[in-house]
Amino acid sequence: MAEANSPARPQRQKLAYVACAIALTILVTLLSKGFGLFAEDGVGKAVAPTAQPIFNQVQSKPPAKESVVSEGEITPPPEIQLSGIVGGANGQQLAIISVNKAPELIVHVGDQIFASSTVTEINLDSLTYRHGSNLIRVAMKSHAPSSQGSAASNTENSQPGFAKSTGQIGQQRPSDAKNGNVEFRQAFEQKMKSLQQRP
Amino acid sequence: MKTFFKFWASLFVLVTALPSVSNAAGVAPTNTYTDVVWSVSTTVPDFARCTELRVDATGDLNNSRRLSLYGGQNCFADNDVFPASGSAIFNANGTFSMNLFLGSGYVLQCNEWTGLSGSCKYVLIGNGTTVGTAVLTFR
Repeated sequence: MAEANSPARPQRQKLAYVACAIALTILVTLLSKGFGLFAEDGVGKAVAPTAQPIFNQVQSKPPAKESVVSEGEITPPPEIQLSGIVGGANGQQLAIISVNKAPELIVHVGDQIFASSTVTEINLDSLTYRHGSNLIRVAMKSHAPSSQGSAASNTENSQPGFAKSTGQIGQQRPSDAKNGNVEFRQAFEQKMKSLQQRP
Repeated sequence: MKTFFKFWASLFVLVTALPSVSNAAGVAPTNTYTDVVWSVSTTVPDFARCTELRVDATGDLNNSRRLSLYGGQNCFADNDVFPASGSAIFNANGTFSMNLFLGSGYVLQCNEWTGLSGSCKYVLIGNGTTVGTAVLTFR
């Protein structure tokens, strides 16, 4: 009883309130910062910048090495698909090919397309390459008769820069579906529209 | 006691209001568009086998006309990549331009596109020589 009525009690109570207030303030500050972080993450499609996809994509693939197993013996040839023929600037034919189902690339005669594989000849409708001591001919992918016919006739009029596409170029592969082009296209079109609407 | 609660209440208001005040002060959010991909076709020897340009683009298109780009031009046939970094701008005339440093020797300049695909040129850093052109097709 004597303690309850002592003059020290209000002061102790006050100290307790102050301690409570400090604890609450710290709690509130932490919470609000936490929400801030979540909010930043949630804005639009914001993602922390990272170069990972690019390097992973390339480095995660097994090394494209086709080493000589023993003297005179080499590993199987790569899977090559011929998509089209292009008339080069100096009149030579260039071939659009896909090596082991990778995206298409343009090659000349003499280009190494894979370890132990070099392009030796490009015709109107085929590509020949040397793999080890073997010559392997790859014909143009077969298509509907009408499109193949027109492609063949077009090649005769081949001029620098003229591309005889078979419709394979630019075709989306399953792996290509994983890109951010849809979102970027939307943002791009919106921005272009807003610029065009400016006085 | 009353003074003490007043003090605590004002402190609470101050602490909770701070983040929203900082946002209102113009700290606008940026967006990052990941894995923006173009198919590349070129006869420039160093890049002829590099058929994909894949970048991330960061910027605040609500308040800005500029984007920061970073990524690489991928050469799948060689299991290689030319690291790329640069910027893009929406020009006042309603066109789009990109400038990317590739590896340590080239700049890829794509000027005044009216859409997301177009032609570009490879320029040598140093003497500014144009070594060839490329066609970029947005996938």
